[in-house]
Amino acid sequence: MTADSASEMSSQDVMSLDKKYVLATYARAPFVLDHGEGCWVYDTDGHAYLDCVAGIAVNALGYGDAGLEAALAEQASKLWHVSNLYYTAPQVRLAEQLCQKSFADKVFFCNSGTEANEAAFKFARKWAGTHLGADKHVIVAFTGAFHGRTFGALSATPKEKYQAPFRPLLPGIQIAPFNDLAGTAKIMNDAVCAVIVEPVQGEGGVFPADPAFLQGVRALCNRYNALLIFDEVQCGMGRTGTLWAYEGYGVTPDMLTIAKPLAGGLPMGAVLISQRVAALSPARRWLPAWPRYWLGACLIRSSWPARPRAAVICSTGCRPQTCPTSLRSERVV
Amino acid sequence: MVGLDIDVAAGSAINAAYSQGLIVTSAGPQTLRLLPPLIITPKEIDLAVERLGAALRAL
Repeated sequence: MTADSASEMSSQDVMSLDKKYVLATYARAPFVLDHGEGCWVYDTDGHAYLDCVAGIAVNALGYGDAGLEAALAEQASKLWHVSNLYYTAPQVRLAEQLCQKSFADKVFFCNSGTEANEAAFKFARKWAGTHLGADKHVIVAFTGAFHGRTFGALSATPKEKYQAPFRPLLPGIQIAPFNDLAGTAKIMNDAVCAVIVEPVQGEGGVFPADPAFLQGVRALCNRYNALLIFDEVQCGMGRTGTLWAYEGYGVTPDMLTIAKPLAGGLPMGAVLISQRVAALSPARRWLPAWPRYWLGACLIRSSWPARPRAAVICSTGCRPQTCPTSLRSERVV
Repeated sequence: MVGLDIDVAAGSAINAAYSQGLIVTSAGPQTLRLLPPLIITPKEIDLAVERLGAALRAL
């Protein structure tokens, strides 16, 4: 089938071909999306939908953002991909911005949130193994967590439906009760090298961590000399009303994993890393050789100067503090 | 990010929302999750709430 005829397929044709050729790992909505503008998407039959999913928190700037489109067009005419073997200015500028806007001293780039979490686990084990011995390798995650579907991240995502078909999983993962500090304290010991937690659990049911819980987990990490990893893949980059969810809690992690909205829709992830962990460099012997989404780096780099922090979060005046049904992470029961 | 626990299956509520021209997703069998673009306007938020209400009433 040619590209021309593909664009003239009916929605039923598309769904039939999908059923025939695409592996059915997701249940799909009964329409075929064609284009979008602002917060709206349109299907091939002309129906408009107000999109309150945004690619599951990916399309933070909506559809048809002029700045993103211009940056993409400009960069696409220059270079699409550059191997990790070479320097480029946009990547280092983005890294600089991410550090300047967070606690971090260094940035590691990758292609997705699950890769960011895999990398954070590796950094934690490398850090602990270097300084404290191989026995200190346990990673603590929480009930209700979702950290991704690659094997390491899946091992820290204690949902039976996700894990059962793929066992055995990564060893050395312990699950503690979310928002239960006393229960978490029972899991902690000197073998723990890192604790990973979402400040707001997304996939798990939209459960914000209690501030006292996160503060207590920070204290436990300090007590047992373990690293604290915040997974802000879904709740970070403005989703909770501050650029990073941790800012609203006043609790600073040692590593922060981000992805989804980072490049406005292109696949891109990152780990923001404190000097304490980054001091392990040179890392080239053990870092995975993932290509970094350099085009995405150009995109987000291009979009940030025109949209400083407050504008990204509240460009419409819809401040979480003043709009009860808005973007603040809250749970309406 | 907003989560709403509802007393019907999330899947049926999501389909009802589609019929009202609204896209929402789930976070569990009886939990809806809303994560709109951060550029959403107050008017669009009101419209989303209105359409979600209509969808749930239609069930």
